[in-house]
Amino acid sequence: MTAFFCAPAKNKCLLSINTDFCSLVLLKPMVFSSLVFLLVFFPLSLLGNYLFKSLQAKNIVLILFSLIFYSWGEPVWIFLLLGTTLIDFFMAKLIEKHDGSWRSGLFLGISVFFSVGALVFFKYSGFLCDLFNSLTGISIRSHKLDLPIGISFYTFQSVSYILDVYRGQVKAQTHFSKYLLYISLFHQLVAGPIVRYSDIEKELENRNPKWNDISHGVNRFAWGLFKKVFFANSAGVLVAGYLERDLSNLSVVEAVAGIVLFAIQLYYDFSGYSDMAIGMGRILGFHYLENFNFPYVSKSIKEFWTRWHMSLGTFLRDYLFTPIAFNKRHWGQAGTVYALIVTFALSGLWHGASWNFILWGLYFAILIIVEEWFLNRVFKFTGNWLAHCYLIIAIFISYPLFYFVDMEQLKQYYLILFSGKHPFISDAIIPEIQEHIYWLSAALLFLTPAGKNMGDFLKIRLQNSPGLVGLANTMATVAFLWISISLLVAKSFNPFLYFRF
Amino acid sequence: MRENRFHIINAIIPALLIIVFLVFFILTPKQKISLEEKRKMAAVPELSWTSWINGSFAAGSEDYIADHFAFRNELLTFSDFLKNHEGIARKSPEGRFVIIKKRQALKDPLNKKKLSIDSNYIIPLDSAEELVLTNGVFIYDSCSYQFFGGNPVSAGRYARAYNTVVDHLPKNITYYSVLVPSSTEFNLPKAVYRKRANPETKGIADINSRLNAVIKKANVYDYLLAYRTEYLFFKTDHHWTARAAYYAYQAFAEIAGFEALPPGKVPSKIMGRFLGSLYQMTHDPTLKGNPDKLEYFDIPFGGAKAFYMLSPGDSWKSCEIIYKKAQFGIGYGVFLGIDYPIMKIDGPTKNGRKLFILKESYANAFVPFLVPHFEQIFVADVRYFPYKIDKFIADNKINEFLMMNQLVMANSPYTPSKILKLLKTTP
Repeated sequence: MTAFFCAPAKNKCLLSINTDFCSLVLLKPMVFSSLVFLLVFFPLSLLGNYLFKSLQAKNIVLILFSLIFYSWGEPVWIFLLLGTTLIDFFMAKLIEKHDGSWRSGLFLGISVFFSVGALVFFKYSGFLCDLFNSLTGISIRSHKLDLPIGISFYTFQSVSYILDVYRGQVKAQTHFSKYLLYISLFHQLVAGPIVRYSDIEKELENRNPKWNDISHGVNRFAWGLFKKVFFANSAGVLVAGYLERDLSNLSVVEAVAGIVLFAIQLYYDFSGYSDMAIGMGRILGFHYLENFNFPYVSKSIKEFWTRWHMSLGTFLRDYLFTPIAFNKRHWGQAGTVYALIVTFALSGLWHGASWNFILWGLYFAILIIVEEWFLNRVFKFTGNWLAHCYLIIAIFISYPLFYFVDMEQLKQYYLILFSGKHPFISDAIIPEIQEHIYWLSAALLFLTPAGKNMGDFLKIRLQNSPGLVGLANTMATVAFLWISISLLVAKSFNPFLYFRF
Repeated sequence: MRENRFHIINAIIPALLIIVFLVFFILTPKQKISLEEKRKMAAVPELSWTSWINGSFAAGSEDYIADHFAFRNELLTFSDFLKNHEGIARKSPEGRFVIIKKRQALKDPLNKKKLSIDSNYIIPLDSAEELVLTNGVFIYDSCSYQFFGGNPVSAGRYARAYNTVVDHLPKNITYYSVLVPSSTEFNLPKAVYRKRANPETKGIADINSRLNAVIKKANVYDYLLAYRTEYLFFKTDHHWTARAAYYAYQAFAEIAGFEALPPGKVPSKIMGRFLGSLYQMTHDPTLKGNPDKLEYFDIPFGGAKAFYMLSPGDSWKSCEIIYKKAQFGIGYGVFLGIDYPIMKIDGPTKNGRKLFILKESYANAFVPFLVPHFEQIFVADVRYFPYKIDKFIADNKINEFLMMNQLVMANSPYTPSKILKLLKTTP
């Protein structure tokens, strides 16, 4: 996963307290929730798009902005993106040309080799090197490479395209510019959702956003921005307060609070980003599929994965699980279990190149197997409430695996929860919750469909007063933007003070 | 059709909001210095192939837009309001920590070397390399505090640094040490600070016991303790008041062999109110409702003249001992103006006493009281002093030496390392 969602609190230290600060140059990718993007980049990209009438010109403008977006703060890797895109484009054409012959398989192999090879090289070479060293006792020096932004996402998009062409489900794109636009579209380039070529194939050729689209897109973008800035960023600060300090002093309730807040952060961060991408796409006439559907209200892990990062879930289902299960169908149920374990292990690995992520994936695979084995039948008797409780507990138990990259810290965290040796509660936690109780209540409310249902209910009740609904919509959108911008500006407030320790 | 109209309005109004921000961002004049934040605001990033490739243009653009965003102050006030209403305000008798997030620390603190002091006289205090964001400010009863965490090891480090300086300087110099305690032990109830901070009396004793015997130690702590009910420390700023500095001056007079001016000869004047550094750090509403009073003393300087120098080779330029134009947010700037790398005060008393003070900003409120008693005073800021200290002292025929630091700063690893560096600095 990209730096945005991979254990956010553990991102590479962009800036450390360092007396040699003059030499620091910070590599900052552009993100939607940045003032440069909101004030300059996005308005200019819209202006550029609406200045031209022909689709070809619009596409070229979008490509240019996407390349600027990608090269912002990390320009070198743009050549990797262009290179793999070029290879995939030609390989797809060759696959189509040699459809039915062994050559199409060869070209598929070449394409996947370069796309996935680049991902493996940049993301997993350090991990594989360490693994090799520990297995063989040989000491090969591994270099931790900087991960090109969005490589996990655009690799999956190009792989899905190539496989769809190979399977004959889509036609190979004949214009490189259109294929490049599909891969590089800045809405979803760096953090998804993973858009299938078939989903936007027609819109690459013809799109004509109506005011309805633009209006919904604006609303969606503002809501996503608000989720990211108001909920996720605030939760991140609180998470760090619990989980980034010396764990040995943590009480059980503080440890739970830390991970609950991390669950809030993760959801709002990722779904907020997806909302922004979907909103921007809609403004320009692209209709991306939904990526989140209130995952925390699920009743099983299986359901959770159909509501959480849905574009990844369907990708893994269609391109990994189903082919493996089909391949091993002669194993019977064991084949399905095998496919499930492989899929989730690789899903974990996709999220991050370390053992904790693999464990995280395997944990879900095991739970799904247990659910299918007997748990679902138990829940049929007990009702939904127990299933919901089970899901929440299962998810919260999984998140430390996602959060703590350091296995020692992970162990220490679980010991706090389960060893019984740590104090149950500290004096500070209640006042801390009180201080954020309104924020926390809102954050928890919008984790569920309650807020959406309330909005839908009001829309129905006020269907005879569309003006009122429109006004409320506009006011909410402006409020989301205003609050988000205020909080983003506040991040730049940066007073200096004496050194203290 | 009607519905379409609502969609148009809904799409256009948010767009207008962004356009308004953009237009005002372009048109409004850009602030070069933030007095509140005590730092230079980001400049327009230079666009070049190198700056694009190494990411500095991207980083610089984000900083520039953030620093000069239209209605920035109003947005900051609004975000403070939001932050302060996320829940039920805590009413704990135990006080509370406001955790300051390590934001983009050290982005571009004001650096004396970069600034023209002539054109920007009112430069905030406490800047440059050692300035980092604190992790937490303790708020208790609408006042702000920072806790002392020194120990025998850090005390030893500071004492060793001062002793090394003494070893390198001529034997005929008289040495003094002044250590300034923080406000915690004077203003907070014992039960509150005891479990959070190390005892400062012990911290002072740890340093004094390790200092060379030739160094005379002023007992500032006891003097302040005797007047603890007075307004000794700012409530919203990390410095002490001129009143506290006056009592420290009395303590110093005792070891330096002169008679301190009695209170009647130094009438106090009130300049107004200000919200200091710790308020700026926290934007805590209780601090906002409890601003500080800026008081200075009308000391008979008797025609003393003050000069400063930024770098070796510069000429001495005139400055003021009491800078009455100190602005909101940097009220403490009334004392000496700023932390000059080196300042020289030609006093009115021709008694041959030439005092060199190696200090940080706590000394600024203290130095003015010394003016009537010395022929010449050199005030060197330990952070910026550009000379090799032994040579400077020999060249200027200095015969008395005072090292003055706030206790927390003295115990930081930074201060001793800076002191030792002055023995190696050229010229």
